[in-house]
Amino acid sequence: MNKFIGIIVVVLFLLQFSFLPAFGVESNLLLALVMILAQRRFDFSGIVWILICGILVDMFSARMFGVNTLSFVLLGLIINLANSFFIAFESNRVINSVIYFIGKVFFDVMKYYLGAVFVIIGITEFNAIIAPKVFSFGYVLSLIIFTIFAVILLIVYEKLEKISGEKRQRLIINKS
Amino acid sequence: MKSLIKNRLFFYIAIVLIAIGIIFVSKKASNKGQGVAFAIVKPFASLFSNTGYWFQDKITFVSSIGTLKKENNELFEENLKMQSSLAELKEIKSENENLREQLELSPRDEFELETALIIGRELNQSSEIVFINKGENHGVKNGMPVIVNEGILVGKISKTFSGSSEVELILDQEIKINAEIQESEAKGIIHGEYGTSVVMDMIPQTIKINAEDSIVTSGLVSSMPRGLLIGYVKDVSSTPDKLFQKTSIALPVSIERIRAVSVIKIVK
Repeated sequence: MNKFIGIIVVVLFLLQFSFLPAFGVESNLLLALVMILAQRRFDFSGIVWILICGILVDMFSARMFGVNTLSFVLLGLIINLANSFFIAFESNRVINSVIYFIGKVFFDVMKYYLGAVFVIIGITEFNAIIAPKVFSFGYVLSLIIFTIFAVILLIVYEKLEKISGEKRQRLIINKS
Repeated sequence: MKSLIKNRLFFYIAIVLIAIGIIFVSKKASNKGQGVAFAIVKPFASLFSNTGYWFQDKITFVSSIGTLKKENNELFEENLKMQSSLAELKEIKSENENLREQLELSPRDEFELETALIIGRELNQSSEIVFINKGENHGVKNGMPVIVNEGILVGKISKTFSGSSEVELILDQEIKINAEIQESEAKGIIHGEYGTSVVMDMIPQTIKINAEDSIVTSGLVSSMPRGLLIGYVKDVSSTPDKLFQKTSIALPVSIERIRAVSVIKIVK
């Protein structure tokens, strides 16, 4: 499965970095993968993939090094925690859509505040932080498109899981 | 149950601490790392970017078929007008050259250009920055102006790597360019606003500005030659403190759709 995840990361990154900007589209495709990994593969390799996604976004971003890595990891933890409450509905697409929708809003707000902390510490430049326009029509539309994409990616991920014959990985902690 | 929550909490904290550690380590090596990452990604990014622009061209072509005839007629009329203006400009040019010779002035600036393709857009979505496929190896340096159509300014180089560079577009909030209004010679500073528009402010209140006046670079910085077109005056207003005037700028090109750019390396 790691091989498939690697291919997904590369393809999503290239789509986000080079292909979609040609149409004037700004997107956060790797964020969708991070949410899926947090739900379905929160073991050591899953966390490493989340870190790789974060560092990749930070490498190809200007002025805000580190904010994406930390935001991805924190969001991964929160989605994983939330998912444990909805574990009985994990194949329910509506529940998943709600998680992705809220997760994206949460990510944008968290990134804004983390950016502010990074400014105080002196890692980020002040003008690099832009507050998300959470109540604008454009933002809500982008959330809906993001959610649809995340659900499609989840379906692809599930198919690849079946092909690789690997069972879902989950963090196991001893109950002792 | 309590110990399960405790274990989980420790695990989460450990992950966050590791992430913070990686950030600090990577931050120190980020410049070198970025250069290496760009060198690896460049060929694939160029392929995806070219494919994207190819699709975009086809889609734009198909969607514009309905308006092609009307557009063609308009362009034909515009072409006729341009031809007469061109004849007039040629006359003015030769007159200008003669006058320069008589006054012993040096000839107007000519540029040495490095053509480059846009291979990607920064992933943070908080700044208007693109990456091009030419860098230090091609003589590109920090602060060099980036233009299209041999004279329309679209940004400047903000960071260079061996084979690629980062371009700050004029829509970016961080960019600052000295500019002047050609008709009134009023000086001001250009910068982006919210990543969607460009404004010129710090224009003295005493100067009269008219809509559609041309805004060009003022050449106050040595790396930025004088006379590069930035755009045209759209709306004029006062700054909140009423000390200066501010104008929004209509750009002559659609910045989001640009595929190829030229970097001005040397002003001859």
